[in-house]
This record gives sequence, structure tokens and C-alpha cells, in this order.
Amino acid sequence: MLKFPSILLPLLVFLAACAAQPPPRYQVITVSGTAYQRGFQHGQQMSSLIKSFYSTLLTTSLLPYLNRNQPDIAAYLHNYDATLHPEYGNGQFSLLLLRESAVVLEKSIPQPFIDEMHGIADGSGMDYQDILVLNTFVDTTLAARGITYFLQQAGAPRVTEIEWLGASLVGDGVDNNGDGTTDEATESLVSPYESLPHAMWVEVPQTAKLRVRLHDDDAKVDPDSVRVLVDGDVYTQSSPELQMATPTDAGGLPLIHDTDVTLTPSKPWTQPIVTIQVQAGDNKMSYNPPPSHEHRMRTEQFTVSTKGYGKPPHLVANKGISDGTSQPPSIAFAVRNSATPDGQVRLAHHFSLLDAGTSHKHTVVQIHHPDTGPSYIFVGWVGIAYGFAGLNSNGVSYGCNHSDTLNNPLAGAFLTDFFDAKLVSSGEPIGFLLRDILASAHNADEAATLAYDTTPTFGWNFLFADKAGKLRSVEVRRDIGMGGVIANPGEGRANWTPDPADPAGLDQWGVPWASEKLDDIRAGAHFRPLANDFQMDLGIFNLRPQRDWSSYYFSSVRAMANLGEQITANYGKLDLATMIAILRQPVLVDQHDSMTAVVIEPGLGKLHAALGTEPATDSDFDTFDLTSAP
Amino acid sequence: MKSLRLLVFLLVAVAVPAYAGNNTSTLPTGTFVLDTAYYDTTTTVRYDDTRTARSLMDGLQRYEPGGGLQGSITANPYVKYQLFVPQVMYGVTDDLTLVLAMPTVVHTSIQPRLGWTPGDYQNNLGRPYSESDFWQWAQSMGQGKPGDFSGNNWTPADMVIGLRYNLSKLKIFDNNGLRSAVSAQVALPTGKQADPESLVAAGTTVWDLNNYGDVELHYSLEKPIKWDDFTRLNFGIDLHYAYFAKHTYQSSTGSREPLLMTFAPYIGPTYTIDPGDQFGGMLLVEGMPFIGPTLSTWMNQHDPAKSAQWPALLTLTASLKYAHVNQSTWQSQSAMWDWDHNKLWLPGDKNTVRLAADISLMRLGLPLQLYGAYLTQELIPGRNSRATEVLMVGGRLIMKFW
Repeated sequence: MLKFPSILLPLLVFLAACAAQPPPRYQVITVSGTAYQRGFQHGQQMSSLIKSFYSTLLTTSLLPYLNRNQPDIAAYLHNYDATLHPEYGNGQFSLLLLRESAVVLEKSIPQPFIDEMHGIADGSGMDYQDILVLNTFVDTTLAARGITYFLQQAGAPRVTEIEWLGASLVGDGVDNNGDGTTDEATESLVSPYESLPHAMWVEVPQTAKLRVRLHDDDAKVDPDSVRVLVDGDVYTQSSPELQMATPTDAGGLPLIHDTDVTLTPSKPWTQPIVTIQVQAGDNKMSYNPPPSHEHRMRTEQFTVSTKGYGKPPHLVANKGISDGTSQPPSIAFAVRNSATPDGQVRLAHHFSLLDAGTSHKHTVVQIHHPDTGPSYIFVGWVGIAYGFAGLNSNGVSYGCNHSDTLNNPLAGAFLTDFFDAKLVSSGEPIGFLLRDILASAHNADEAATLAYDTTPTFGWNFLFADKAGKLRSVEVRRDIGMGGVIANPGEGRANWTPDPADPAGLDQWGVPWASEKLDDIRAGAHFRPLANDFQMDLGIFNLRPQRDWSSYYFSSVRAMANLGEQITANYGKLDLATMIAILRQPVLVDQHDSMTAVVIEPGLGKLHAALGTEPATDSDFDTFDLTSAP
Repeated sequence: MKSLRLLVFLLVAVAVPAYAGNNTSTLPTGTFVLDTAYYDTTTTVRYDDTRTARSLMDGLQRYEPGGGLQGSITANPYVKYQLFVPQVMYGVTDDLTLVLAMPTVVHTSIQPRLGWTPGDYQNNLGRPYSESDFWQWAQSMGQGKPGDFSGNNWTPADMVIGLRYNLSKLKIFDNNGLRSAVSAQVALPTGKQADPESLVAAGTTVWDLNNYGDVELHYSLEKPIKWDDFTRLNFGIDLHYAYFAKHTYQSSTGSREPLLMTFAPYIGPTYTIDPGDQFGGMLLVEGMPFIGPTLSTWMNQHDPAKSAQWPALLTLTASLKYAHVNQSTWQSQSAMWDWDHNKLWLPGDKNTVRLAADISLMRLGLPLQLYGAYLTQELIPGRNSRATEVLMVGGRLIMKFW
């Protein structure tokens, strides 16, 4: 008689198919040979992923998203009017915009990298033009986004002045606004208002009263949209603490485009540091691009310290709170010597910009062994020949962040050709500058010089660390000007170290730009030495510096302040594990546009990467040893 | 991007009644049975790996390029298939019955029942995206809000040809008072695949219905219990294996749903689905609480003794079917896209409880049987499977021409 159980069990095991397994979280490729050969190997191994990256990030996300701005842009720049120029119609606007820029940018790309892109195209079976776009769209898109965002802000309310109406600041014997003068008549008034990375006033009385003037060029502030936030307390039109009125000019005539918002908190401010945030929209609806919305200003933010805190304004960060309405941007920091327990140089970088639910699925660690020059490793995305963090076998490491600026080639095209302009980028694409650094730099000084001397496509903040312990930070933006005449020649660059002997590393108060002590340096997504990156009044537009319009500005200021606190708290203990722990601090992690996170140890030739999840820092940090890479 | 296309594969757990009565009966030689049934099926629930009931679809997160999370599209789809299943059975010999079934979808409707969970605060709006905001945004990029699906009107599903062979005469069964049969059926590809370009759509193939395999084998064993020389109770088991063949499908190009359905550029012009085979067993109890009167009619040539063993006037059936479901495997040029689907079709199981009643009018002189049944897969949670509720009614006409 058959014994059913004994035959059924193996039968069932045989019949039950295995569960499908997920693909690797991220890719690793090691390539060698000539530039073309390395590109071909990359393209061949990653063919399917390159196609899906192009489709999911560009075809179905970024390109249609940019197409939405065509009507606004065509209203000023008739070259993009689809009626006059049908080639820009039928959804082709954004792709053509990127392709036209790519063709110009290609002229600044060294030949080996062009060869490599041809290799990627041939290996993957994609069109070279598409690979070129994939490798240059960041440069063009960031500049276009900056202009678009600025134009949106230009139609929205903005803060033009603020006034302290509480107990007088005049006569308190303190330089409350840090202008070097104590108790001047205008100490309580900031007009015109400008955004600052540090406190607006210090040592203010706890019994507060503030007036904020909002101005809208072509409409009126919608009172219902006004929100004033003070460390978690929200005041709106219905709050008895908030009054709104239309101010008058010296002749008593109403300033119809202005609104004075006066806040009289019902309780004293007992905290040592208080941040005030202002949000408002106007009464003019915008229907294009959808969704329909009133013109909203970005959340404006300024900070005061209350009596007894004891620090001057420049030492009180305009930090605010992480309330979930903004995400921290890209950050980088590097340490050495006394900051660490073991003297190792380390550079940490978390790049956040554009995940769109897909970039993290297309991350790759690329290890290059060129025929000549050093080997190098970087983290990036399939189909793209560069990454925003990397290390070469000479012991040079970098992290690079974007930094909003209107001082970019697309805005330059407008200032040169005005309404005949085409929004075409130019200069050295950031990725290939970074590749150039990997391929040639012997130390952080050389790397910084290459970055400093570039003709940038946008605003960039670099951090370099080498195995000898040299730390350098570089900020660059373009030099553009009316009719092609440079507005602020020679002011578009900064290159400094945390060394006390380096005057470039100190601000006007003698405080390091971005270091806590001697052996650390950090960078965010806002300018420090280049804070006045642009200012030009065209009549129809008042082109303003980054800090007055960028959506990244305050979140970057906050992230840098939080990062500084973490570095200080862990000084002397900043080993690999501690730096990873800092990168994972929630206040430093963009939850939805995080892309790659690394800690690099240039002295050991190691790169530790967290990739393939959103946010990237949710992943384990896997170690890649460049010295033993095959 | 993750696909909303999952809606295509909403399943119908209808058991196509290839055979009338229990699982071991065969028709007398030369006898025909014409069987027609109407099925009303609804599917709203999916079980995950922990047997927790979930919506048929996970939320789909949407992102503003460089602006964080816009929000999540939630969906709680309601899927309804109505089927008409005519079958013809023929007794080739007393022990061998041939069956031809032509399942036809009368109508399919899918209500995606989309909702929205807001995401990040958007500075330029002064608020997170509302559902209305999001679909305005999507529309500006050429993607409208998916609507309901209504279609497949009187569309053939995959046709079934089957055979059952009665083994009851073998000594091993006969001596022990057992009945036994083996059955096999094959599906012919007469069904229609779903429109590849539509986000919310469904077809009528074996895979879409996910109920019967391309090839299916059954082995049935029953133990009838008699009182007064009539079977009053019947206990049975049925073991089955359903093989599902790999099929090729056209990839969506995004011509109609540009944001959500542009796949062809990276997954290739076609992809395949190799559905997981299903196997398991069923326990069955039949009771005949009311045998009914046996009249002297033309059918028994006016001799009631001849129809003493004919079916009872009322037969009640309860069964529990367990089916292990193997991994269903998508294969395209993109391993990532494949995984987005494969992870929703991991190996699992489903448990079907069936309650049925048959009324046989043969003893009254009418060659007619009427039946109704209720099937549920929600009573006992499955794993990595979709659960369907089914109501069905049908009738059989018994004919013999020679």
C-alpha cells in the first residue's frame, strides 16, 4: 500500500515554486580601459536600468513637469511661443530646452568624457543625445527652476520691513541689530528688510510687539492667508493677537499694495531665542500651472534673542524649528585631527535634490580604473557619468551641493538678449568638473583650485578633504550682467580652509564661515561668503540674492546650525559610526528627496555608501575599498 | 513609477462547474446534460503575507519633482464580474464523460474608488496638495484621473474541454464502498486580454479570471453513507493541480495614460506573466435531507423502482477548498518593474468555503436540476491572494436521444 505522506511531502516541495526575490538595492560597476570602453561597460551592464531611469525620471516626471511652465516662460520669451515656433509645441518644450542646453554644454566637456558618454549610449542601446541630456539636465534644470521659482515669488507678497514695537530698543545700551552702533534712532526698524542667516535683533524685552509690512507689487495680501508662527504658536486673522491694516504714506494716502501685520503676543517670550515665521498669499489667483492657487510667498523667517542671552546677532543662528513644512537640503561636513578619536580624515555627504520616487532605485557605485591617472570611486545614478560624492586613489575626496542663484547662465541669456533670449545653459557641467577633479587632483588644494576656476553652470558649494588632512570649501556662482557686462566681476568665488591663518575662512566678525573649531568644516545648500550672489533692479524685476527668494535658504541655514551643534557635541569622537549617526539625524534627513549618503575616509581609501532606499540614510552603509577594488 | 495596473488582475474565484453533481459522477452512455449558470462575483479584498485583509491596491505615492511627497493615491477598488457559463456534458461511456464549457463574461465593472492622503507642505501653494490639487496637477501633465471601467459585455472567456473517468468499479474502491474518479480539463485561448493602454481595465482570459488553469487535473474520492439503501450522506475529497501557462502581453506605451502607464521604453514592447500554478485539496460533505416522492412518470417508464437511486429532491453541500498558489512571475527587460509586480504575487494560498443546494426534479418526472451556491474566500483569510465572493444560480437539463 502506498504511504501517501512519504510521497506527498517531496511532491509538494517540488510543486511549490520559490518566491521571487527583489533586485539589488543598488548597483556596483567596476570599469576599466579607455574612456569609451569604460562607458560601454557601464552602458552594457546597466542598459535596462538606464532606460528605466530615463523614462521614470525624465519622460514621465521631470519633462512633463517642466512643460507646465511653458506658457509662463513664453509670455516673456517669444522664442518659446508654440504658435510662432511649433517645434516647441506638442509637449516638446522641455525636452528641446534640455537638448539645446546639452549641445552647448557639450562644448565644455573634455573629450574623454564625451567618449565615455558615447560608450554608455552604445553599450545601453540608447541614443547619445538622450545620454547627453541625462548627464546635463541637472545643470539646466536647476537654473531654470531657480528662475521659475523666482518669478513665482516675484508675484507674491514679500516682507519689506519689520519693526519692534515693544519696549524700546533705543536706550537699552545694547547694539540690538549688530550694526556696530548702539541705541541709534532706527535700532527698532529694519527697512528694507533682508533675510539673514543670523538673528535680526538680540536682547529684546520679553514683552514683545512686532509689526511686519507685507508688500505685493500687483495685488493685495489676502488677510485670510496670513499666518504668523512663533515657535509653534500660530496666529491668524482670527487671533486677537494679530491685527492687520493698510498703512498710509507720509501724505496720509493709503498704500494699497501694503499690509501691516502687527503681532502683540498675550504672553511674554520667555525662551532665550525666538523665531518668527510669516506666511501670506495675495488675492490674485493663479491658474497656470495648475493647481490653481493664490500667489504664496515662501515662509519668511527671522530670529531674536531675549534679554539675558548675551550673544551678538551674528552668533545667534536664524535656525527656526523643523516643523515639517520644509525638508533639510544637501549637507556635507569633513573632520580631521582633534575632531576625531583616531586622527583619520573623514568627509560625510548626504545629497538631496530630486528623487521623485525613482532616483534611489537607480543608484550605482562606479569604480573606474582608467588607462592613465588615478583610479576613483563615486556614487551616482545609472547612465550618468558622475556623482556628487567621490574619492580618488590620490586620496582626494569631495562632496558637492547645489546652491540656488539667479547668477546663472540662463538668467544671463535673458540679460543679454532680453525678450529674444533662449534659456540655454553654458559653462562646465558640474558633473564633469567633478570627474575632472577625480581624474587629476593630487590633493584638496588642487581640487579646490579646479572648482574655483571653473565657469559654473549654477551655484555650487564644494567640500574637499584629502588624506593629508587638508580641508577646503569652495563656493562658486556665475558672473553675469546686463548686456553681457559682468555685474560683480571677481566676486563669484570663494575658497577657504578652517585654518585660523586663512583670512578667506573668516566672516566680517572674524568668525569661521562654516567651522566649529580648527578641524571641521561643513557646507549646505546656501552661500556663506557669496551671500550677496546677485542684485539687479531691472524695473520689471528686482533680481535679488539667494537668501531673499530661494526655497532652500532657511532650511539650509537650519540644517547647518543643527549640523554644527552635532559636530560640537561630538568633537573628538567623530569616527565612522558617529558620522553615520549624524547623517541619520532626522533633522538632517530629507525624507522624500534624499538620493545618496556617504562617509569617505580618504586616508584609508574607503567609501562607505548608503544607497537604494528613500531616504538613503535608512540603508546600511556598505564599505568599498578603492585600494583593493578589482 | 509603480503601476496602478494591478487592477487588471482582479480575480474571479468562480469554480466553473465542469460537472454536475458531486465530483465522481459520470453520465450514463449517450446521455447529454445541458448546464447553464449565472455567476455574480465581487472582489474587494487582498490578503498580504500575514493574512491581513487589505485593499486590492497599495497606496501609490506621488512626488513633485524636487518638491517632496505630494501625497498618496489610495484606492479601494470594487470589482464585479458577471458570467454566464453554459456547458454541455456527454456520457461517452458509463464511465467516461466529456464536457465542453464556454464561460462568457456578461459584464465587468471596476470602480477604483480612489482617495488621497496629503503629503508634504508645498510652499508655493501654502498647503499640502489636496486630491483636487493633485488631479489638476496631473491633468496639466496629460494624465487625467482614472475613471471606472465598464466593459467585456458578452465577451467569451477561455473555453474549457474536460474529461472525467470513473474509477469506482476498481476493486479497491468497490470493495470498500468508495467512489473515485479522475478528471482533466484544458482551456482554449478564446478569451480577450485587457487593453494594455488603459489603467483600469480587465480581460477575460484564464489569467484575468484566475480561477481555472490552462490545464487542470483532479482526483476525487468519496464515501457515500446509505440509510434504507439510499445515500443520505457523502464525504469526499478532491485533490487538484492547476497549471497556468506563461503568456505574452503588450507593454503600455503611455499613449493614453502618460504619467502612470509609460512602460514600453524600458520594459520592452512585450512582457510575460507566468502565473503561479495552484494545487491543493477540497473536503466535501453532501447531505440529502429530503429525498422526496418518486412518481411514476415517463422518465422511469412508469416504474418508480427504476428511479430509486436517482438524486434526492434536495441535496445540500458544504465544502472547504484549500489551494496553494505559487509565485506568479512577471518578466520584462526591467527587473525592477518585474519586482514591483512580483512582490504582490508572492506564493500564498486561498481558502474557499462553498455552500450549495441542488433541487432535482427527476423523481417528479422532469429531467431538470436547479442549483444555487454561495462561495466565499473571506471567511478564512488567505495569504498573498485576492478573495472573491460569488453568488450563482443555474440549471441542468438532462437529455438522452437514443
